[in-house]
Amino acid sequence: MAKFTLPINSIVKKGNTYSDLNKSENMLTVEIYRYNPDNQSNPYTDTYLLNKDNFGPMALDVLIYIKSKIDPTLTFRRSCREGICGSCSMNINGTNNLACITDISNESKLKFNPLPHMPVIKDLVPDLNNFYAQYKSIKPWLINDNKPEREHIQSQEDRSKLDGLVECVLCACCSTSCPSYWWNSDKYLGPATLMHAYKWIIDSRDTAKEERLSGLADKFKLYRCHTIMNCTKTCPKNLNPARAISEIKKMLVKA
Amino acid sequence: MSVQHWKFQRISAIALIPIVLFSLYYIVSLSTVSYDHLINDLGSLNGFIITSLFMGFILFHSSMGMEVIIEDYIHSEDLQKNVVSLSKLFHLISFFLTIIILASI
Repeated sequence: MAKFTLPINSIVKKGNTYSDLNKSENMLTVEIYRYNPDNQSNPYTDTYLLNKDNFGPMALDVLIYIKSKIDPTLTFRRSCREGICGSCSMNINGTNNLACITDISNESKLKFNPLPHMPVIKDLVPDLNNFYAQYKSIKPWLINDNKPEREHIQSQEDRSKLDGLVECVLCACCSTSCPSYWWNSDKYLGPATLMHAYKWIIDSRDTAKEERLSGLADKFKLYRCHTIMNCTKTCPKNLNPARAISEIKKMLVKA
Repeated sequence: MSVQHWKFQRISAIALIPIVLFSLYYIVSLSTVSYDHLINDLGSLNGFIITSLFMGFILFHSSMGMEVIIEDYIHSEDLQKNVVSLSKLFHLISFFLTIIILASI
């Protein structure tokens, strides 16, 4: 059965409070979910009272500041700092987003949590192994047995059909915002993977459309999408995975 | 199979729009008549067709919806299959009961 209550060791307790010495009017209260499996204790929320003049305008700047100046044990993923790598995806003030492109200049309070409903490795780092395995399952590469002399040619019109799909950075914000994915992440592929599947299905250079479609015609892999639309609402790149999923469903009816 | 399920769920949902609207109109139009008139009307061929169509589509759509909800929340495959079968049986019995009751008026 689906679990409606949390295990006792997942209840988040109150942690420590750290305060910036340089108090000013430009204060920011930051609450961060902390969990260290080595401690074998419950997760807790640490609170940081910071001066906003000390760091840049993005949420990732806050985390880097805390890690470098206050608590070096704070753990989170980050890389490009410009919304391209998808590493710093996390739940910020209740919404999944990329920390590096989340503007906090107008915020007075920030809450950082790891992506929802994912196993936590440490602090803000979720375990994305299942997410990547699902992505791999859709064969995210070009399938075309015809070997061209140089490259597979694609018209500008066909290429434009992929706009709004190729921009996905696989940050998992959409999948982990989806209640259906929370309930059945072991079987439902989730919006990110399905949007990539759709991208390959409509790619004019790919010749495995039927094979890809039949692979998705499953009541769990695809049809757990109940058009909740959280995926589209939360996507940091303003993409529309819900539309891609509904296009796959329409294609399957016509096939 | 899953494609058919999704398709029929949509078709039944669309079909329910005019059926529900017409049934509501039919039920409201019966609200001012006497009890004997109401029983006579439900027992007529028109009453039988409208009510059985309404209940048939409602129960068909409900059965498909319940199947999806059960699959969402019950993860044990055996239990899931059994509860889905029970749900389908309940909807089927409800439909036949409707037909029997309407025919016996």
